[in-house]
Amino acid sequence: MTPRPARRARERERLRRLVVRAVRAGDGALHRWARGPYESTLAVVALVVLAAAAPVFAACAVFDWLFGGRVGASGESGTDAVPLLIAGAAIALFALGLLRLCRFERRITERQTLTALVLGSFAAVAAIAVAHLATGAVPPTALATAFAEAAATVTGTNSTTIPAADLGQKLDLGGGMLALRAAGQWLGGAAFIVVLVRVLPHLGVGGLDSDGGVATRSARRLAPRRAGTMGRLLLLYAALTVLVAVGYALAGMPLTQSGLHALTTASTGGFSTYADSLGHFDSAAIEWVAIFGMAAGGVSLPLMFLAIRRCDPARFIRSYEFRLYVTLIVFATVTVALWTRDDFGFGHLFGLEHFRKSLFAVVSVISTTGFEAASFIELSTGSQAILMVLMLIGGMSASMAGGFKVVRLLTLASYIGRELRRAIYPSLAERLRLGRSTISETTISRIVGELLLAALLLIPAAILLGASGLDIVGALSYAVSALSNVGPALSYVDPDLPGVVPAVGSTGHLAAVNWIGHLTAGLLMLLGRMSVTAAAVALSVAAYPLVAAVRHGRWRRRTHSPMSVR
Amino acid sequence: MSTMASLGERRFESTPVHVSGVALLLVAAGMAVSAGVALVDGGGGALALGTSAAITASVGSAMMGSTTASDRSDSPLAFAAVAWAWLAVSIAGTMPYLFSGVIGWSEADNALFESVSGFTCTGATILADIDGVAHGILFFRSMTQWFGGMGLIVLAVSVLPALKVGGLELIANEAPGPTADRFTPRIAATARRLWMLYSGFTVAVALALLAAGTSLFDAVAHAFTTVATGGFSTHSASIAYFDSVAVELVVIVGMIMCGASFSIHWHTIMRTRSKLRGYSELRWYLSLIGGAAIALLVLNSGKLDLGQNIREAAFYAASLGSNTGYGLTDYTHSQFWTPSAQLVLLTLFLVGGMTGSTAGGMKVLRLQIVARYAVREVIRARHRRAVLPMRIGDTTVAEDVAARALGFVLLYLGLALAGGVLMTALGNDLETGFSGAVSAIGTVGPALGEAGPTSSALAFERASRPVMMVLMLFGRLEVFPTMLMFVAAMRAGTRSRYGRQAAQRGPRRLTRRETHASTRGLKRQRAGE
Repeated sequence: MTPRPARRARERERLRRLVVRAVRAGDGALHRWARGPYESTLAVVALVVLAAAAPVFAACAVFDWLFGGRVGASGESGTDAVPLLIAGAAIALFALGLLRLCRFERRITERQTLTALVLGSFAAVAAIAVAHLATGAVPPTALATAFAEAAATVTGTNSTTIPAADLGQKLDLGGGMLALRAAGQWLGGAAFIVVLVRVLPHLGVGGLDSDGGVATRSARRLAPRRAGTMGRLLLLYAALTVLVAVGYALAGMPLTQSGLHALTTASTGGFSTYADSLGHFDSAAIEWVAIFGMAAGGVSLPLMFLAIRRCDPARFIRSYEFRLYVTLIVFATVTVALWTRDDFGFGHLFGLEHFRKSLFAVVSVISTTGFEAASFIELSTGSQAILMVLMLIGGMSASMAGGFKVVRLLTLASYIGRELRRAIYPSLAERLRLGRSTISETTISRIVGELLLAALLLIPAAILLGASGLDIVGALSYAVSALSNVGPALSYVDPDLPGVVPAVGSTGHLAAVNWIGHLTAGLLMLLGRMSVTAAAVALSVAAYPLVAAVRHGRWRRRTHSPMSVR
Repeated sequence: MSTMASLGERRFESTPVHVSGVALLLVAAGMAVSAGVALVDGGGGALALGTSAAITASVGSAMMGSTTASDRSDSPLAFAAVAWAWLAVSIAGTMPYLFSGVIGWSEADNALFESVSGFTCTGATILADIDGVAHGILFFRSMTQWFGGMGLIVLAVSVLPALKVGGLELIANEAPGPTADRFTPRIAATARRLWMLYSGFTVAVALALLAAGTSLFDAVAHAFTTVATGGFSTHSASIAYFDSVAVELVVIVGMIMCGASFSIHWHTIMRTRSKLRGYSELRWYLSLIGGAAIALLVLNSGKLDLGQNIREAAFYAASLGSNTGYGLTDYTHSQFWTPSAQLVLLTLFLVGGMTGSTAGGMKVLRLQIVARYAVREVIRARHRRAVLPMRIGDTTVAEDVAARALGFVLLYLGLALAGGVLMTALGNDLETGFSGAVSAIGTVGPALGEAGPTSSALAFERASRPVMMVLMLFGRLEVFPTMLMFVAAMRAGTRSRYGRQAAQRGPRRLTRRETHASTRGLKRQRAGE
């Protein structure tokens, strides 16, 4: 029996008040606690993120006691619980202690928001890296590996160095760590929604500004306040996760496994508990659920919200970005299916299984999830090239996916088109449009700038990865994959290397990478997630004292010497 | 119209056909010279070259004679003229290979590949055994690159100003780089000086090579391809054949010189400008090559001994930094070169030489614009209302120039990516396919993977080579003309009703009287207000 509308509204209002009260209480407590001598918003944000890790660690410890035996490699419960609790307590003590010395600034400027984003994500990475070290998931000396694992967790990238006993076996982790990594990817996604609403609009691009040309304004705000928008999107995200979890469970995945996999599917993170990813289950139903979950994760959340809220599925079709997203998926799937012939063990060329495996690979890559139903390396080379391009493109804007985003691709295409027309009509004045909305010149230059920065970043990163033990294809594809938060790379793994399980998906190559490579990859993942522009602005703020010293200090290049002025 | 009346015969007005005819005539002259070389050498091929010259000349003169160049000179027309001329020349260039039997008739696509690779100064060769080919043909092969380096139309304008195929648009679209720098007010004079400088460099490099101990034939052929930054050699082993540090030094200096802007050379030689506009780009160009050489030294330090390492690093940084593509040893062998060193080379493929040089790639100036633009966007993200003019060196780059350069870079990268996907889809492995596409659009020649500097382009699958040909033409003509050649021809070439209307609508140079009238109109308008 459904409650009557008035009652429903009353209940919703009560819930809203409850949430607001809780948030205010937390905010007030924070302000009362952080009243130290050092006035720095940045430090407060970083320390709060650190402190927030403690309850997550505790929850994962509890999970380990309850269900650890079902998912962990050793089959015992509680192997990770104590280290996790100790690490959580230590981090919380450290963070709260330092927080006592800090205080909020009165005013927060835009650029501080960006720096806070960078510092906050580094704090989260630090906390999770500590967990990896404390539980022995990575050797205690392998700091760079721990950093890369933590960055992959926070940014939702499926790249891991954790070995497994054999192909088809569970990753060599306890239940607590598996839960922490899955939860980390999910919370990273949730935090990204906050970033989407709070931070990216400051950059003028990549935030909620575009919903693919459906409307000029509506998607920018789903509610009068930003907090309301945030709440609605988080609710949608959570609902999607539950839906996928239920789907997995119905498709025959064990309950705890389906919970963990739902967390990494909806967040387009991609961590699995098995060495051969989702291919382990070898079940068509599970793969279909995953395809749905990943594809939904790559769709713009505001668009999805409005379409659901207003019961208007045609909204999807009206969105230029959504149309291109679907077109890309369909086109790539057909191409991959045709180019990968049946000698790769995918079943008959025109069979449903062949189609499903191709679709799975395409959706997994374009939504930047990185699950593998079959290793990407088993595809034909042309299909691998297609997948690499899809990695670069990524999902829709304001979605959980990483990558360059489909809407930016659309914008760039029309920008190039305009330049071509301008080559013929030199004095052409033309505004770029996306459906009903006009794209401002500022937005275009931001998009171009972001692409150029990413391109300028990719090359040195690939060179560093190449210097750290990967081959050329591996280095380039891993750089692209890490920057877009996908994870797997297209590298042939030398099975003789120590630590390589034969054909452990497409992340087996990571066993060959040394610390330089892990450091580079971790940084790439973080940069890709935060958007390179944001990171560069944060860096320029942080480096401002140095820049000022160079510009105004004694290192300044003198153009006019005092002698020449007479 | 006036030209038609004065000649007293019916001619079609079609700039693309006319310009193609002129270009064909020039190539025919080159073939004739090569036939002469073949006769002197006695190694055969003279008949093939002579026949090709005769056919090319007759087709060329027919095309030239039956048409006139349009009085108008706008960019669509220039695009069409340049692109069609290059296509015609590339097809004509297949004849010597086919007639002499160097490449069989069943492999006509290979002949086209060799010809396109020659005229676009790419240097990817289809010939597996170059040393066995007749000297006359090899001379012609090097000469195609020499023609392509500075551009046939520039040559046409310089030697035959009376042909009236000129117009800055035409030259600007053929000469590499976003801007055409005129040294003199007259375009024909500028073109003539460019070719004088170019020929001077060729002679200098040839003499230096001769002094370094090569044979006369090798000296001239390598001078042609060094100055054009093309990369065809007369030996399968490329420069490694000579195994001489002196030859390598000459070639390195030649490649670096010709990868730099010719207008800088001109101004330096003439001492016309003390503070050169191009200096900032030159600084970037040289530091890019120097930086690449140092990076190669460091990255390969564990694998090669020091002397060999220095030799190879310097050579490959210069050869690929100027997108020439000469080879020394095979850098694709992983026991000698590390993967990251090869990735450094891939970066050089992409960037290429300076604007106004004979080099390929997307040009250092555009890289500068890209870097400036990216940095400016970061600053703008911080300071929203900042108005930041884009400075390169001492000059400010206008926004529309920057926008066009960015459009070019995006298109270039997109084409390289799309080409790479196609190449891999057509059967190459990922490394060979993608690097082959980058190398082709950058008109470099050698690639990574299976197609290293010592292996021929046969390493690429046959089906994928047409993709490379298209990319080479895109790369040499700087994307826009090739992309717009059909549009432009449709708009400007025909005399159909549509064409006439379009021509009336399109930008057109005003006659003096019209200019006067419009100014008067404006003045009257202003007075009325």
